Amino acid sequence: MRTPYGNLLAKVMSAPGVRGALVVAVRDGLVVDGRVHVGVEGEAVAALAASLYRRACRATGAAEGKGRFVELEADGGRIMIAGKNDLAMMAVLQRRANTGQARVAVQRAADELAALEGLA
Amino acid sequence: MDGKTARSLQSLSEEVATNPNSTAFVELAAAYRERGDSERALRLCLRGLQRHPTHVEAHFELGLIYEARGERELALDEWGIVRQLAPDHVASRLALIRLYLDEKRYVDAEIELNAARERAPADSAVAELWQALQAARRDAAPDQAESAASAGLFAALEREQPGTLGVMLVGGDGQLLEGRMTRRGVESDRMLGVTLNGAKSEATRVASHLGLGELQGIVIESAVARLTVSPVSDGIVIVATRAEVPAGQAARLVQRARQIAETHLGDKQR
Repeated sequence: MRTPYGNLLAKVMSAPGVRGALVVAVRDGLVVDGRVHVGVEGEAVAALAASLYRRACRATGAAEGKGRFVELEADGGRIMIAGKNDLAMMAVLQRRANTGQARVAVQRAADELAALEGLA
Repeated sequence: MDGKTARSLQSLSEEVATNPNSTAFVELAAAYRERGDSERALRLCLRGLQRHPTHVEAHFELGLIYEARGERELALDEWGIVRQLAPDHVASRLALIRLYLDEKRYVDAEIELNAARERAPADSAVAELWQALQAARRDAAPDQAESAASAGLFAALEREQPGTLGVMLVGGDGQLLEGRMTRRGVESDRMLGVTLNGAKSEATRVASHLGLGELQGIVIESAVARLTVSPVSDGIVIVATRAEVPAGQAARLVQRARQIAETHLGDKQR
């Protein structure tokens, strides 16, 4: 099924080392649309990372509509999440990914996502 | 929704069964919750919310169900939704305040109490909770003074690095060990420590479940600040910088704060 998010996902996926890009509903952690390489569990990433994102936003007193960027760094890779409201852009990065480039791609995609949703 | 439900379980069940669009599921879920059947209450409420996603009382009830199940974070989520949908919903604010008081989150409790007092100045429950907050703060004062005494470990680092908003060392049990962060005081720092310690535990589980290996850190950025949470041997180091501090510079600051924390923890063990 085609969704309005195809182009955004493609841009994030084009950053070196990105193994998955997902548009996720933050409130329930469900995937709205996504592209992932073989071996990346998109549904699990979305559910777990959305929960972490919600907690991080709460910890830092994020208000409705305020942008937040959350990055989880581990030995074997990273997860980046950026959003302004209920929809967030997530990216799964391999260990040797270009972090700076991916960060810019995710944040830009999140801005465009918010614009698509009429929130920017 | 607290207290005895006015209608019988049978009558409510029949209505929900015969009319899937009915909002009687809220009352029925409350009845099940009050009887201790939180599992059935949860299923009913979640199913009902699929049809009525903005039903305020349903979100409030779902929060009560989560609270009854001990899932406080989820309860906070639901009452937060109620607050957005219906800012004048005093019952949800009272529920939030009780939970905050129970978790010793006095600053958050005070913010909610002030909002509740504006909306329901004559409400006796609001007045009671206000008194409870004052009493809890008096009891907590000696502990706060003790914690405030140990803010110096990272003081030199904070002075050296422009744009540093604060550095804290939090123990594995969520206790604030060293440093300070916010200008709102020790209690606020403590709550931040507890919450971010929980976030670190959650991030560890996420990394492990997704096969990403050991957690190295979490970065949380807003338009004004960047917060980095890094695990150390028995706890976490939290570093806050202004958003305009370059990411590379912030990373070096975090590295130095971790070294200081590890040395401090090592000295304590010896």
